[in-house]
Amino acid sequence: MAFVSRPTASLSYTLQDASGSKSQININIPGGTLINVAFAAADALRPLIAALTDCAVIAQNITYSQADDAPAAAVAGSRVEEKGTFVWRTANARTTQITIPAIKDSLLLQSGAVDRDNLAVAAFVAGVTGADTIFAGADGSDIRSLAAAYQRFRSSTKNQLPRDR
Amino acid sequence: MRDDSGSVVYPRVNIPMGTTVAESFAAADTWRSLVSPLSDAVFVSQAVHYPAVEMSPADPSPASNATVAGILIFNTATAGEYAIVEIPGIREEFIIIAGEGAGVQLDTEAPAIADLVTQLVSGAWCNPWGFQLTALAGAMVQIRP
Repeated sequence: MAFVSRPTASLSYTLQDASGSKSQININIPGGTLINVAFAAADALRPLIAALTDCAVIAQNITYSQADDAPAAAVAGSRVEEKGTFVWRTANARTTQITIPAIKDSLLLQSGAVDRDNLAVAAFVAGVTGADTIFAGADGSDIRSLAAAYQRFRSSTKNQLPRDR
Repeated sequence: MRDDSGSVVYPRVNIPMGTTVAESFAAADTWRSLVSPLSDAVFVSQAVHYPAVEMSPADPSPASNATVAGILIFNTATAGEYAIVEIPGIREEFIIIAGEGAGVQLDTEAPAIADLVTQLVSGAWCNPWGFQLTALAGAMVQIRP
């Protein structure tokens, strides 16, 4: 059970035509490429692509991936639609939200709130808000404290419905 | 993360944009160790994304059509392994209009196409399995539904 890097990272450009339709260009780079080298390569390629297309290049994304080569089995009866929702305060006085799929029932109070006194929950909160961690809000602001934590159910997508229904 | 029924979801957390890939995966490993005790689902994969948005994109040409794509096929350093690069909205001027391949093949001698090919075979680029692009094998236009 180890996370193994894929042999390549992917670079995708999003292009948009005059009608608003979008399409993508996907190309790969060796997985060991440093991110600043990848950005430089993407910057070098973009104008060369722009010279060939009538579309406008509106975005790009570089992704590095890993996969577990022997994942454990999920707990019987677990459902990703049952979520633990954690709302955090950030350094710039805003909030950000992180959800934990298939939150363990043992971590919940009768009301549906997350038990903040639970050791695993406390360790999670400390791991996110600690001074030496790098987790941030979507705008890059440091996560400082937990504002709320509770159970929440999301509706199932078609693909999440039972296959033997 | 995957639950007992096989359903998969993709929870996200943010990190500063300047974080290196190695630092990002180290943080991801830490994240997994913190979250695993909280969830009945299991982690099956993880990915680090570096997105960027053009703040002032140029207007697309009125004639642009994303469904008309230039298809560039490359040989790689390993015989029998290929790579494909697609260019949505390929400009009409690069489609051969007379002779063999008219209406289908791209003009690979056009400077703009040659410049792109030169960059793609420079050693920085590969196919999804890590085989480095070495030479252009063919180029054509394809219309997508």
